[in-house]
Amino acid sequence: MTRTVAYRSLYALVILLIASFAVFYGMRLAPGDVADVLASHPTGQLTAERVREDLGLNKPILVQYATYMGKLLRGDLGLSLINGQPILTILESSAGYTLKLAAVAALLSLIMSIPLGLLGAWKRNSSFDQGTMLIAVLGMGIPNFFLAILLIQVFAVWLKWLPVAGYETPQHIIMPAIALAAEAMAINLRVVRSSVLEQLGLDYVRTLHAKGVSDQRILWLHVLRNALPPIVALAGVLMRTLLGYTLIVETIFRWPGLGYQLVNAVLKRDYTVAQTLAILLTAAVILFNLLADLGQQWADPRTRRQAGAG
Amino acid sequence: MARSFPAPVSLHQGAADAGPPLLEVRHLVTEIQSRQRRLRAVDGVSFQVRRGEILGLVGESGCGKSMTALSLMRLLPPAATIAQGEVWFDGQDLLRLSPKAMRRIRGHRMSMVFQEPMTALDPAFTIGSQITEVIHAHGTDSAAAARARAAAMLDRLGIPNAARRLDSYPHQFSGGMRQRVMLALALVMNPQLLIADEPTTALDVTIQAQILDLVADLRRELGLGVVLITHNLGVIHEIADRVAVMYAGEIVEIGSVARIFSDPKHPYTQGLLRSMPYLYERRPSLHVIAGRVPDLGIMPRACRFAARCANRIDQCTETHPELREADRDHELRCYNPTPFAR
Ligand SMILES: Nc1ncnc2c1ncn2[C@@H]1O[C@H](COP(=O)(O)OP(=O)(O)O)[C@@H](O)[C@H]1O
Ligand code: SF4
Ligand SMILES: [Mg+2]
Repeated sequence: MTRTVAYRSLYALVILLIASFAVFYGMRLAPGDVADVLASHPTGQLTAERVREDLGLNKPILVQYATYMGKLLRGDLGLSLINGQPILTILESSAGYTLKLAAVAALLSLIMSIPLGLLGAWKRNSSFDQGTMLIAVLGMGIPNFFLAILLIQVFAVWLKWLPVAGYETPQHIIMPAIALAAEAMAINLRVVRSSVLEQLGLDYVRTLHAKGVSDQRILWLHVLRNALPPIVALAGVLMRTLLGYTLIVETIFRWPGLGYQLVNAVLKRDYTVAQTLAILLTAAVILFNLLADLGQQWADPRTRRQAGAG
Repeated sequence: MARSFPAPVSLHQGAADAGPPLLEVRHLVTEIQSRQRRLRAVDGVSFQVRRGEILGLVGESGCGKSMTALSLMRLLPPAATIAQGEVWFDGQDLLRLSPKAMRRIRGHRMSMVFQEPMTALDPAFTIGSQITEVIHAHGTDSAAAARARAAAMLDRLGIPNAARRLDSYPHQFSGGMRQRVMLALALVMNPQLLIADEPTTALDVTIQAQILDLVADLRRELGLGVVLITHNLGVIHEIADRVAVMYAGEIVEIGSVARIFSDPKHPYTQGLLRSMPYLYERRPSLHVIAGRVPDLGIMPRACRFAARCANRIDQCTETHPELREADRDHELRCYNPTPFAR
């Protein structure tokens, strides 16, 4: 297990290096030279040459990358190109919002998908099962931006139950969380259902019935426990997509998280902010993958080594 | 192959008492829903088991032994249903009980162990928790009392260091040990009836013998009635009191082990006996009954064994033979039985 952790962590680190370099390099390919943008900015009093010099843009790209990553690792995130605000400040004010939204969405998708998938599999082919499968198909088929607009139209414009956009009250998180959770919920639902179906056909379930254990206990304790590994594995993937979708959903609902800030930075051509936020988001995604990977190993008793007995 | 079977140890007889039967199965019919048809996997099976008695249920693979056992426990797979019959156990017809009432009987007064010890336990829970789960499902023992009971049961079943092994997981146990754990699950509530579906088939010979000895001992100790399913006549000869021979969903011969092994009458039983010359060993058989069990979908209307039978006469392919008394405690389903010659 320790070896697995070390190996997977190393792998994640390599992926992170490659991905962050890709972001870094990609920014350099963006239309319009950073320095030009900055020099042409109304508030800027600098020449393009000065900016290139300051940012080290004349040096080879690998050197630039190393310098940049070095600073990043020491916690020096740099300044906004546009207004000189420390990126750390932007991060501090927005990361909490994204985490909150992602956590609520993840929780929502699990709370919905696990019971629905479990009961759907238990009552296989019943109208309940078919109903949940319809939800799954819809959840996977409707793009989240469309769902977001639909939610706004129905619950904010027509019914006036919820605010259109913003972040001030607890109600503000409802629609973005649903829009963000829908697809994850749908995918999870299918995975839970198929994983549970697989378990229900196994011999140990018959043994549990032969023991006189109640259906509820068999389903919610034994079957769910054994059905977990693929669900946990998928949860990591879902967190990753979820984080990716925050760009769209946060922007639509003007939810001031990382995604919203990133999109704003790109639109304003604030390259330093965009680059740093993009790399941090990538790092978060890779971290979630790693955690999911390790979580899955842990959830599977056969890969968990029991010290002592045996 | 001239070899006679030693008479079964007389100790087996008389182990059963003379009261009303513990289990009485009457005309059990179990059907499997296939694409368009309902196929009869068990067709009119009747037998009795007394307290402290071991009934062997024997027959080639696919004869309906497991379907019979699962019907008694009402643990059939979704495609299978009991179409007819009665299963009287301790004064009530199990087939008429509510699912909840049936659940209270399973693992408590009537238990089952299965063929595959490797997959029959939940891999994610400790042995101890899987045993105490039965105790908590049916009793009011405290956690500590249940644990002590589980340890005592494992100890009785020959698991060394039982108390410490409670915290092990199934994958840390060998097949033989797991089958002991399965027996512990089945017996911890001190049931009256044990149904064992090929409990030793997946195990190697020495372990097989140990497990069978255990079952025989427990039967004596606890006055347990046992339905022991096997395709191995050696096993039956070793520990059963009575034996029912199944063929294609029907019982074709039933009676005491002493009688059936000394004077088998049905050509199928005779064929099975010829195929097992070494009762105590698991050698490849020298004689195999030619042909195979007919498919459920194309079951002959008259004698189901006719296609494979050397004694066949005209009547055998015209009408269906009934199970009739051939001797005292010996019933037979055959039109043309002949004395057994090896
Ligand atoms: N789940 C199932 N679905 C369909 N047919 C089955 C199923 N289980 C068993 N059968 C059929 O029922 C018959 C009896 O099977 P079984 O009781 O398992 O035989 P045995 O235990 O004597 O080997 C066989 O013809 C088998 O093919
Ligand atoms: S009834 Fe006829 S075919 Fe069937 S077993 Fe007896 S002799 Fe053979
Ligand atoms: Mg079987």
